[in-house]
Amino acid sequence: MKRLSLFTLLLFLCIATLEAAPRQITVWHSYRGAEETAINGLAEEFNALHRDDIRVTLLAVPYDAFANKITSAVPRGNGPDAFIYAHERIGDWAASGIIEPLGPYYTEHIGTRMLPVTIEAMRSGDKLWGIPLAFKSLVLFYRTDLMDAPPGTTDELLAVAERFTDRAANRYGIAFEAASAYFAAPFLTGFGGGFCLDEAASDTPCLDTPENAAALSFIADIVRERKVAPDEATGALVTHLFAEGRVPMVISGPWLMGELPADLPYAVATLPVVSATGLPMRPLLTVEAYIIAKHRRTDIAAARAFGEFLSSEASARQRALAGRQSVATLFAYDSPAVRNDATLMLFKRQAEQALPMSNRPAMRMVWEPLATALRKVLRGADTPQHALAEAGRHYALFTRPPAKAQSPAIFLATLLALAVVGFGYLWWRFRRERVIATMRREPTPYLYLLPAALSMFILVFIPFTVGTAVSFFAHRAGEWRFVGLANFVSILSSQDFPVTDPLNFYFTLAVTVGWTAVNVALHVGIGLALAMLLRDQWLKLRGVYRILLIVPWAVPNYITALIWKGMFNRQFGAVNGLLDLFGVEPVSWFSSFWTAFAANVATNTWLGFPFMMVTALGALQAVPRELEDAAAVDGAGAWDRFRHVILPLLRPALLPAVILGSVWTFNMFNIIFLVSGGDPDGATDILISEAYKWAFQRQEQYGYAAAYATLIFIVLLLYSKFTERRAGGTA
Amino acid sequence: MATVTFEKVVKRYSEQAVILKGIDLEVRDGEFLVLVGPSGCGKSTLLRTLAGLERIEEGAIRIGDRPVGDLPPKDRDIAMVFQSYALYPHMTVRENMAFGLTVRRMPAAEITRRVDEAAALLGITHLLDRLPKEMSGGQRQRVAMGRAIVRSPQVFLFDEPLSNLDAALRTQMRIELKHLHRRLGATIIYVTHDQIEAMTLADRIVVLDKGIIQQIGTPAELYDRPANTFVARFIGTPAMNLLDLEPQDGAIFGGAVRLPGTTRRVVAGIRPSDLAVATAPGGIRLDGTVDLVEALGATAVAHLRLDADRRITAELPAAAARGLAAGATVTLTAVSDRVHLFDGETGLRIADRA
Repeated sequence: MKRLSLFTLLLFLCIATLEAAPRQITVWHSYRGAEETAINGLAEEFNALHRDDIRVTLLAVPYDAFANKITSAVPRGNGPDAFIYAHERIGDWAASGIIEPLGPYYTEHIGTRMLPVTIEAMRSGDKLWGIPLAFKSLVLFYRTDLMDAPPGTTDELLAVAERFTDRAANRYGIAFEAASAYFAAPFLTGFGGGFCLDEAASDTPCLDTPENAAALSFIADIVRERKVAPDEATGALVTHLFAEGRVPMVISGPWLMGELPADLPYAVATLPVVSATGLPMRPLLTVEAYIIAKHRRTDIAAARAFGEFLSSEASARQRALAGRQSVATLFAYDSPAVRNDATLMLFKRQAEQALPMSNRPAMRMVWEPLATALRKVLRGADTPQHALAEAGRHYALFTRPPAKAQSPAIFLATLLALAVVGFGYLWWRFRRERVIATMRREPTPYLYLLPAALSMFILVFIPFTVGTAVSFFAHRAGEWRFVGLANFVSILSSQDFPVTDPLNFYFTLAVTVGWTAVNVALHVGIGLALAMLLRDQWLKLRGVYRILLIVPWAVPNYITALIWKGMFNRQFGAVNGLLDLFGVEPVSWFSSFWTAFAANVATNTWLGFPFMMVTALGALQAVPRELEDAAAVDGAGAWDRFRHVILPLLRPALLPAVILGSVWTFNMFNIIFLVSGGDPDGATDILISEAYKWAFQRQEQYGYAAAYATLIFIVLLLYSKFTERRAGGTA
Repeated sequence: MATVTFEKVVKRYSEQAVILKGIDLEVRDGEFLVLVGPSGCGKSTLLRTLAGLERIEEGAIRIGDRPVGDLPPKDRDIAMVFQSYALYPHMTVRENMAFGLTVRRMPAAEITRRVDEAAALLGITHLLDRLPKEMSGGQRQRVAMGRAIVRSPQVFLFDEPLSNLDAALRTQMRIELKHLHRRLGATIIYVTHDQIEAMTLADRIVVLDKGIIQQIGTPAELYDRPANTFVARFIGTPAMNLLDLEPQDGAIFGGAVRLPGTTRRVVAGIRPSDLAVATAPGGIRLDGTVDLVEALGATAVAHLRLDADRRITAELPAAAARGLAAGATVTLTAVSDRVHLFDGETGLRIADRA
């Protein structure tokens, strides 16, 4: 009876849902804070309006992985129906059929309602691919308590800056992330240069132009010659200086406002006109758009409805006022509340003279070469002209066409042959060792092994196989092409770069090996020394020291890495502060190979020695005190005792730790990526961080990166085989 | 070879934990001196202070004329054999024996000569290429001694070197050690808690208890004239019988033993081997009930109860013990001048009767 009523209830529910069945749409976004609150409110409003018709579900996805998730999830039907993202990917998503164009009627319809420059950003080919919602660009922030009016020209800006600069008191005239290519863009446009990617005709950027060179010279002049701006400025440093009143002007985006104290007296202004050319500095404009996925579960009308709703005048006003967004909807600016908001109006004015960032793949490939050129010029290692020429060359290399497609037939045949041989061998061994028979007779131990074996298979074997397989493909814009061994040949022959170029495989390999050797030597040395100290009975508070010394290990290593990165800052870092006490000139740690390498090593040593210390401490417990006494009586001094008695006895315990440590260090991506970031010019990159760059910063060349990873695996395999043999029976 | 002198040596870990309470001791050149005492008496610590493995808080230690109190172990010119042998597990026998010479940068040829010589002396030449883990306890013991011998140091120290061996091997090694000492003529200081080892090996024995020297003397002196009740009990097996007695008319045992001018309480000591079953009246008479008889072959050890809380042991010829059954009553006797007398308060030996 009970079961029957349950069944009836279920049936009723099914019919009820079928009948109402509002169309479900899932929308991904990466908003946080006020912006998220605003959009959540709007979604509720929308759902209330379309109660029986459409139901929207919002999903917040972290910004960092957003684009990669879209690229991989949408074609497999696991993605959202629509999503809100910066327009910069529209070009390749349109090309690889991941997103849906707006359609001619709608194209005409929104044309008049939106800020024209935001419409431009949506264009790829002759279609529009998203509904512009909001935009962001750099502007000039200035402290109203420190200066009366914003500078109109760069000459005025320099004059104010020079007046305000007092390096002894750590005060600067202006601050911006000078080493970032994104911040260099308004200077390029102000000097009449740019990327030449806005014209439909050209697909190759023009980095190496006299205008761009002049812009780079100007930035270098501000930072290096006049020294009115801090070099090595990070976003956090810029915020800090501005909030403290140690700099009256900063170039930054709307995100800065969220990080400033509420009562700070400041205002925003458009970027000044470059005095040398009379042209305004035009920052790059990023437009957040509502984009509809091609593979989705609902019809386009439903998916588009929420976008239309978000871009409507009322919603836009709400987003502008509650979410503090610079909205693209023109009519929103007619409302008095918005019109009286000086900041929002200023962002709109700046947008009108901004350059929409090109949404083509080529744009994203510009950043790394341009940033490298910029850093070279900023640290005085190269002239702007030469650095830009070099950037052009790197651009060409990063974007070179993938290798010719090959027929996989021969490889499949080889793979098949290898598989047959492999399974044959396995079968033979099984037969010889009578594994199957044993398994049948005594299955219990194998059952115990099963969970571990299964998780090994899923977590190690499958990813490894997939990773290796990927290394035989070339990937561009969502398209995979089988290229055989071409990736390996390209990496190992390294024809494109001389051995002295950081992009050369052998250069990186040498750096990686050196990095591993130096680190492991320091880890073992310091770890052993501390273990010997901590072992002594007379040391007071031994337990306290032990715990304190393990702390570096216990702190998540990316936090440590970021702390050390800050400590190595040229102007504000603790390391230079200490050196200053001894009268040493401040060192620009990330400007030369050896200092950057040393900074990386220092950080990783800090992280690595506790492990060796703990291992050595444990192993030392097993060395009988009488042996040392015997050696002491035999006439051995402290060093001889350590060298001839203790160390040989620690060897069996230390050797596996050293091998493990070497493998970890060899692949210590976090430290390289977060501390030096490969600076200068990728010279301190190790193989794994180089692989990362190929995979995620250079047009998603996953195949090429996978080939790097496979080579890393081979190197480490050879290393562990070699040490295993050397260790012989002792390990 | 050299003499070793301890002068008022004090070792303490804290105010409460004083291990050595002012040791005065002179070890003669070429002497085999045995330090004996119960666990925790400070004998090993005394040895380690000489080796330089423990610092002393007060006093002085000299080897020959050289004060060594502040020298590190390597500069004292001594060799030590440990209870656990302390062989370096990662070195072969040859490397183990050569280690002390290698760290002193001795020429290789000389090292080889000395190691071969010592190995031949100890009969371990065939073991020279083995690792410690591939040898028996006795072999390791020899290697440990070899490691000491090659150095030809001024003083050899042995810290309970035989206690990890089985009984048969221990007896054999004892004899070898004695031979070795005669052969080398070296000054040896030997620590043990086993008084048989002490008796058989020593030229002189030092009995230690609670960080204080109780008596120094030859094995015979210690056995025949123990300085106090501690030494009396410690030396000799089975241990000496000590009887707490109230003198009557300046005599004990019913007048059989007269006391030299004292009427205080005394402790009378009689070695079990000095007791016999009484066959005639008179003399010292002890009536007891037999508890247990342990037959040892030629002799037997009888445990008797004199009264509720006093027990004695007697070592009797096998023939005499044969008639004794548990529960039987028996009268024991002893010659009166074999009785050791100790002060009832201090436990010190009372001056011998004239």
